[in-house]
Amino acid sequence: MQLSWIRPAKLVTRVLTEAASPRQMAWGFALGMLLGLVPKGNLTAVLLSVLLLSLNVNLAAGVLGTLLFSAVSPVFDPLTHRLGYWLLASHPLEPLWAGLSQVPLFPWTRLTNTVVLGNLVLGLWLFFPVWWGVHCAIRHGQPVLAERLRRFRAMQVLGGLETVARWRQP
Amino acid sequence: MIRWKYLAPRIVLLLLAVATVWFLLNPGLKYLLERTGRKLLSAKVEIARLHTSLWHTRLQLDGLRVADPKAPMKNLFEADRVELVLDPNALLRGRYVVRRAQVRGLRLGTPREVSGMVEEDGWGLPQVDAERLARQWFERFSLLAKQQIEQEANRLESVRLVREMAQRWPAEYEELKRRAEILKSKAENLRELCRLTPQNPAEAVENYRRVIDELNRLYDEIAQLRGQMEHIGTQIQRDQQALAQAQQRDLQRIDRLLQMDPLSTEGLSQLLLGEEVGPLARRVAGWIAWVQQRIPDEPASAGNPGPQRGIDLLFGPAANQPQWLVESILFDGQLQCGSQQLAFTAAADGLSSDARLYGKPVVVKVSVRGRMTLAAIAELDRTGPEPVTRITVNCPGLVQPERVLGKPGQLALTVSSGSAHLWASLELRGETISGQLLLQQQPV
Repeated sequence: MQLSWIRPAKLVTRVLTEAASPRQMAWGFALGMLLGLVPKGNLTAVLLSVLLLSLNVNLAAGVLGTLLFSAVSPVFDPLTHRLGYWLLASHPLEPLWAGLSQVPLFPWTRLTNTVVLGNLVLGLWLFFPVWWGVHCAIRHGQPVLAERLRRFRAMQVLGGLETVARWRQP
Repeated sequence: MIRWKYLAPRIVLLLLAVATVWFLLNPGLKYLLERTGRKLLSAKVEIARLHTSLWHTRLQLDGLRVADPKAPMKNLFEADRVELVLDPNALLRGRYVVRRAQVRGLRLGTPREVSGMVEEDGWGLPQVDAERLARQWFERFSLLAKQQIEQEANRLESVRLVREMAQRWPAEYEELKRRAEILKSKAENLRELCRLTPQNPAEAVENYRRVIDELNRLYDEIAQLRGQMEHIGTQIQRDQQALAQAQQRDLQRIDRLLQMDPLSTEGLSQLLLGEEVGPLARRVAGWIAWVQQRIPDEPASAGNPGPQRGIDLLFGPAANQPQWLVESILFDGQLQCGSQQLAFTAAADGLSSDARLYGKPVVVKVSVRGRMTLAAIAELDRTGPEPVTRITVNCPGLVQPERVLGKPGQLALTVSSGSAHLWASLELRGETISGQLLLQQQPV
């Protein structure tokens, strides 16, 4: 039995069964999506993580969004590279980037990297549609799904499977 | 909206970390620098005051004294102030850009009130085996010297000629010996033929005819051998002449090489500048050479960037910043030159790991003031395809003692004591050197 699929399944179940408001879940997922899209190891990703953890949003939904979009983010790299390059190489924006480059700590944000900037812009552009989509989906589908998952004791089953998988792990 | 339970402890921790750095950075760094310096030099390193500014990435050391490990009652050097200002943004990008470096009030070999010797505390640097290092150096030096001598010897014409003769003459001798042996055996055969007793007159006639034929062939071969011997005789004379001429030319070449010695850097500066200024000029030239050695002609290879997502675009001054760059470095202080105490200032601008990317040449300015004045400016340009070095030296008011140029008793020129003005402007472009050297003295 693989822990790698049990944990995400447990996380999804927890998101769906938690008594958080759809608003908090949507905010958490959208912020997680933004964090997941941006390549890690830079100040932008750190600031987004701090934002996700500091705001009163659903953390499980945030972690789910982060994991999901971290996995699919490299697929968008060719697109986001072109988007980032277009923004960075555009002549009218050159003074802005030159000015920002002189700001202390700005180099650590790596916003002059084509993929980092492209992914951030893509994430901001997708933010509201994702928030709205998740909000609608949770508001309409979550109570029914949560009820079914509770009836089948999904959390307990997954918890048991996780314990067995850990025990059998070499 | 804000999760204070998460944020508040982290803000407190951050503030604590900032406060710790604020209060402990200067004493901690001072202790670290003193201790590291002490371990590296095995002598006391003292810093009167240290001040750092993280916001401006500036480090300032006041009253730096480094003891001489070989003479504990003397300082290796001391400086009133050492200041280093780094570019914080370049540092965040992993590049080392020194905006300004200053060493003010530098003095060498000053006396100390307290001994600069340090007690061993167990984790010092490993002792250097000087004898082994010296032996290794000597072995390497002797090998290099041997190679150099062999190269020089191979260039001599007489050596080449002697080597060629040493191969040719034994072969010639062997050939002669072989032919002599053949002749000897043929003569033996002929004698045997003469001793034969014929059975009948017809056989006797046939025998005599064979003997006569053999004799004729023997005479021909002896004549050929004699001709070869005569040729060898003339060859020996030609070789002797060639060897004598080669020796003559080699001696002339060696003479020319030996005549270069008086024109060596030390000899020339000694002759032109006298004993007082010569060492100073050599020291200034040494500083310029030191800077020149540290400028790479070719930029270091960036290597394989490895897999990474996207590309980083650089803007503003960062776009043409090399891996390391010293925009300005300045030294000033006192210098002991013979019996004289001289004030000096040395500055270098634009030292970088990639001059082509930086696009500016390195400028070194050295100025010495005291009983005499010396100013030197060197521009080391590595931005083009060919390295170019321009050096200008100005040394007015040189007090010159009376000198004799040439050999007294033969042809010699006596120059009376007086005040001289030395000015030189040289340009080194690749392997060629050009320029002007002017030495003016009143009265001569």
